[in-house]
Amino acid sequence: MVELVKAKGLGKRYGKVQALTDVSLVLPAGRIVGLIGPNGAGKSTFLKCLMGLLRFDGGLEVLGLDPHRDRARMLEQLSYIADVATLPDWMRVDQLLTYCEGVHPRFRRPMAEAFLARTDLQPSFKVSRLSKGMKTQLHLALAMAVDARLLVLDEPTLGLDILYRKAFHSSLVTDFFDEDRTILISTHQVEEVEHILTDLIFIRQGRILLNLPMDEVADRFAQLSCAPEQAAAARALAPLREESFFGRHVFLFDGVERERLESLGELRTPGVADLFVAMMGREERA
Amino acid sequence: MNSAYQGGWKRFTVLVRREFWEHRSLLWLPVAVCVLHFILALALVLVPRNGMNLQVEVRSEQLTVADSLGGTPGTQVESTSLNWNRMSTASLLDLAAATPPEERGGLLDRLLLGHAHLLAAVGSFLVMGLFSVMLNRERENRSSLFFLSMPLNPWTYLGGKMATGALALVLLWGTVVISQTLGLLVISATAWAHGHAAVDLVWGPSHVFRLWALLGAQLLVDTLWALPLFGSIALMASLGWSGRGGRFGVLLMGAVVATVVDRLYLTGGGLWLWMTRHLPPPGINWEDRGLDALRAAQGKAPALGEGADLVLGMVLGLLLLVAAARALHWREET
Repeated sequence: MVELVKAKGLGKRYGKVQALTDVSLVLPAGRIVGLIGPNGAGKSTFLKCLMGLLRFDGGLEVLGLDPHRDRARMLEQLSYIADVATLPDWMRVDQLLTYCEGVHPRFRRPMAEAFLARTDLQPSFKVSRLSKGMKTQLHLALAMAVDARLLVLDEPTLGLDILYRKAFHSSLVTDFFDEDRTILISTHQVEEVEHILTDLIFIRQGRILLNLPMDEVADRFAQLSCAPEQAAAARALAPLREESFFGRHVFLFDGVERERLESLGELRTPGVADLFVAMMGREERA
Repeated sequence: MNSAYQGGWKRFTVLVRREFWEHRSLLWLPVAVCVLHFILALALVLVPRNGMNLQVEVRSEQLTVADSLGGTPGTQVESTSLNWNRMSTASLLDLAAATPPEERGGLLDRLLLGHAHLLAAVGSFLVMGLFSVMLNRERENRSSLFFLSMPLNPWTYLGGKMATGALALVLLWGTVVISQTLGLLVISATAWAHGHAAVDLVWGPSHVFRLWALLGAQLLVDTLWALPLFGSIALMASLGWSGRGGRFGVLLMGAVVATVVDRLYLTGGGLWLWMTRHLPPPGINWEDRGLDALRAAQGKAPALGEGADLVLGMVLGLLLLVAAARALHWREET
């Protein structure tokens, strides 16, 4: 198993604020990892450490390199997309292609042009004149054209309409992803990426709350919908969260055997959004 | 792999092109300076004037020339003074034509060069000021994240910006040189049309190449002059004073720094003279007549303070730049 990112005891402090605390994780190749957390959880700080933009405590290795010391070499194999506002407004599409081609040894211009040919973007278009959706297409074309092993996305679809968001996520899987590459997505829109994720990481107040493959989510977590008369029995099993809908009670459990729950009502695997809300709630109560 | 990628020089040229794509003013600024210079140079030379300042300046040069020619300063000054007073409402062209040939050489080019000096200084300050805008604008619109995601060594990135600045200065120099030469050609034509010996009056015995070289040296020194100003702006930008509410602070600080720099540099009063003594263009014979005679007369050892001013300013500017980088780093980390 090739490990593209290895963090051990990673910490970062901004003055008096501890932004990351003892973050330890491993991201192997061939994964699509969702990094999910509320605002101020430390997602962007973690990604900035990953990009070598911030100094940190503890150990961090990206693509086998120290992100701070070997930043330029590391970035040859790492593509990064923040939200659409990061593309320089004053550049034209063809200038961006020329720039990337000139400075990035692994940028494949023909591939970017082929990607752009499927859109309405013209080489003479200036970034400032593009809609948010077009900017995303352009940024995606640039990122896809880099022969990178790690693609880091920080809220990449913020402010986009649903059509562009769907197209974006579809492109990630069909045009970029393979068994040698890993995609790390930091987002709030968990419902939309849920179906493409292979791994899930929850982060809150700089700490990792949850880090497990999606196929283990179903083994570990369960959502029970039961009648009011079964609620007391379900409550006795210490659910993470409880809600009521149309006279039925919905519970979310962590690590409770399915056999014990099946007799109480209808069982299903919780969605990432439900799981996220439940985990955050438990932390707040704690 | 990227088959078009050649690294090294090719990458550097792309970095420079990127700066010109962003800062169109790097292209139009030299043209604007050139046009302005050409117009003002013509006005200075062709339009009749009775300005006292100019008269005094010319008189002072005559004094030095007279001194260098070995004459009795008192006598020369008196006759020269009377001469200029008599011509005080004439254009410089007429003044030059009325000057004895042995005192005439280099007079026009000296005046033109002195005039270009102001514009060149403004231009070089503007070029340096653009660097702070380069850094600041990226921070404001978050495009720095895009550029930081490229596999570039920070020194390469910075080198691209510095090379752009150097290229902008060369462009500035080139356009001012062109305007200077065009100005001289027009003056020559005008002199010829008025029955003067244009070659003798305008071009000889000074050499146009020397003007070009001196102008280049001037731009270089002016750029060094701009270092403290640029450093202070960079420091203010990195401390976050460039926000909407902080622009007034930037202007205020700019004025304060400009005043300090002015006091620091200009009290020495001789940077231009220091430069003409220390940056002679190669292959120029300093013992010629005209402007050369003027320089030969001034060829005493420069006062220590004149050179020290420049060095002090450079050190101050570099310290401010280092402080700006530290402040930026500190803000990002905390």
